[in-house]
Parts: sequence; structure tokens; C-alpha cells
Amino acid sequence: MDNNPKSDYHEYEHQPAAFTPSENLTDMATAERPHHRPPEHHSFYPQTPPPPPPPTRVAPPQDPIPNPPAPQSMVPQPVVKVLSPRGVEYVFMTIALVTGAIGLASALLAVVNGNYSFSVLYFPLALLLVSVPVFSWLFLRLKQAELLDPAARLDASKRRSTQFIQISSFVVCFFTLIGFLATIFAKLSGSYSGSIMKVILDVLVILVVAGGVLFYYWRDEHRLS
Amino acid sequence: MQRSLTKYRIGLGIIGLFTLVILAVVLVQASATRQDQKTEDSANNIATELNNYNGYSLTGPAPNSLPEAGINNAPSTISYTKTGRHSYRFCVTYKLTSNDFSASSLAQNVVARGVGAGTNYNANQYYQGSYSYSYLYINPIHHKGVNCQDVSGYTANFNSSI
Repeated sequence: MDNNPKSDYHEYEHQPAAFTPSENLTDMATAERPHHRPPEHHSFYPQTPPPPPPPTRVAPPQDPIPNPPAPQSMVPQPVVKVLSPRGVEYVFMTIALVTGAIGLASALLAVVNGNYSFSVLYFPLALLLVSVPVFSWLFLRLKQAELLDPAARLDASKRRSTQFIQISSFVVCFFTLIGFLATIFAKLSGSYSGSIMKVILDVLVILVVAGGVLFYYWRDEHRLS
Repeated sequence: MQRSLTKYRIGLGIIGLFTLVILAVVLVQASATRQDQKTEDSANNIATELNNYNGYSLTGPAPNSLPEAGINNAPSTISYTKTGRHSYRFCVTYKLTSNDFSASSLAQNVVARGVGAGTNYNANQYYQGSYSYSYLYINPIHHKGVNCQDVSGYTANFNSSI
């Protein structure tokens, strides 16, 4: 056993070189960073004439192809979706319209059923007293703005609100009609004991209110298109 | 532009006018409703005291008058008449009709029938005849005018001579 500590050192000295700076620098310059190759006129690289272009077939003329869209990650995406200033007013008007329609339908249902008492009418009255003035003011204000600037009718926030109103009122009318027919059939079979005339009046009230809203916004929407 | 807004103003004006009519109806009924509410509260307090005086099955003899049962502040809209040893008639006079009609429940029920979930909604109307119980019960559903209830104990049927 060699106890000389230098022997290990000597042995290490004779290991094959694992790293040659000159070779590796060349590799890095040529292989790993091809785009950073110096221009051809640099003295370090020999000036060689460019190779002749390969023979190519002449392709027939094609229609111009549009540029491909940019990657999704490059397109700015809104992280917060906000309504337009007019859109906020349309949302306010939608809330007032839905509340007022509920109040109006409730008051009319009470009247057609012959209930005029305080306890029946006070809540629909409260709904009407708040929502009718608010809705009227917002409706006339927005209608005036649309007349002055027709482009305001195409506001996306406005259409979102009006489409919500249309869908809601359609659902109410749709299921009211189904309910009406179901009541008629129940009456024919004797399983419904109430007055069919009152049911007709109730259905008419709901259809006049919800159907009126649906008709107005349906016509308004289709006049746009 | 003003002309095109006129039709909308007319429509909104009609709805506003309807609202004002409802407001007038409600305001006219406000004082009568307040009076009926006071009457109903008093009747409920008296009913509690009368039921406690004789027990809920009217086991004891009915009092000859309300002051005998310790009730001294009965309003003029409430009357008590002893009709037998174990029976009496209690009457309350209201200015307005009251029922449990709810327009929102009615509308919900009409639409709900369309999805197969509705019921045969009918507002409970006041039973025109007088109620007969073994204890006094003040029904919140009542009609305009005098509403009476006859109270008779079970023992009265068996020991009418006592």
C-alpha cells in the first residue's frame, strides 16, 4: 500500500482531461448559440460564397393566406369585466322593471280577485311607489339617449340586460300557459275545485304584464337587427 | 324626439295613475285597519284570560260577565254573553274583511302549476256561521261586521242540569 499522499495527487494528474476550453468554446459558439454567429464578413470565419439556391418548382399562384392569429398567451385578456356607464343604468332599470312588474301584477291580481284590503295591497303598493318613478326616469332618460345616439342601442351591456328580461319574461309566460292548460284539464277531471273564471283572469293578468314586457323588448331587439 | 317619447310617457302615466288609486285605497283603509288590529289584540288577550279562567275545556262554570273574570277594559267592539252554565257567546266587531289572500302566492302557484308543482290555491274565506269550540279562539280571518263564536264545555253536554 502506498502511503505517500502525493501518489493520489499524481494519479489525479494523469486522468484524461475532461474539459478542453478551446474545443468547448468553439462548440458553444457554433452549436449552442447558432443565432449569435457573427456575420460572414467577420475575419474569424472564412468568406465563402453562398450556396446556390436549390432548384424549386414554381408553385401556382394561391389565394393570399391571412396571417395566423397570435398565440393566446400574447393577446391581452381582460381580467375584470365591467359594464359600460350606460350598461349600469340599464341594470338599474332592469331591477326597477322586474320589481315594478311584480308589484303591478300583485295589485292587479288582488283587484281581479276582489281583495282590496289593506293587508293585501300595502306591499304591492310599496313596490309600485318606489319602482314606477325610478323605472320611468331611467327608461325615459335611456330612451332619449338612444334617440340622440342610435349607436347606444347596440351597447353590449344594454343587450345583456334586455336579453335577461326577455328570457325571464318568456319563462314566466311559457309556464303560465302550461299551468293554465293543466288547470283546465284538472277542472275537466273534477280535481280542481276553484273558479275557472278567476283562473282565466289570473292568467290574463300575468300574461299582460310579463307578455307586455317580452313583446316590447322582443320588438326592440329585432328592430336592431 | 319629444313626439316619439310621448307614447311612453302616456303608458307610464297610466301605471302611475293606477299606483295613485291603490295608494288612495290603502290610505282610506289605514285607520280602519289600525282599529281592527287593536280590536283583534284585545280579543286575543281576553280569550287568553277567559280560557285560563275556566280551563281550555270549560270545565268550570262560565263567568256571568267579563268583569267577573277580571277583565275590566274590554273595548266596545267586543261583547260577551253567557248562554248557559257552561257556555257563552263571544262576539267581535270588525270594520274590514280580512283573509289570507296573497297575490304573490297566487301568481307563484299559477306559474308553478306549469312545472307540475302547484296546488289548488284558494284563499281561506271566513266561515259565515258561528264557530263552536270548547275554548275561545280568535280567528285572524274574519269578515266585516260582527263575528261570533259559541263556546260550550264538554261537561255541558253531560251535566246540563248542574
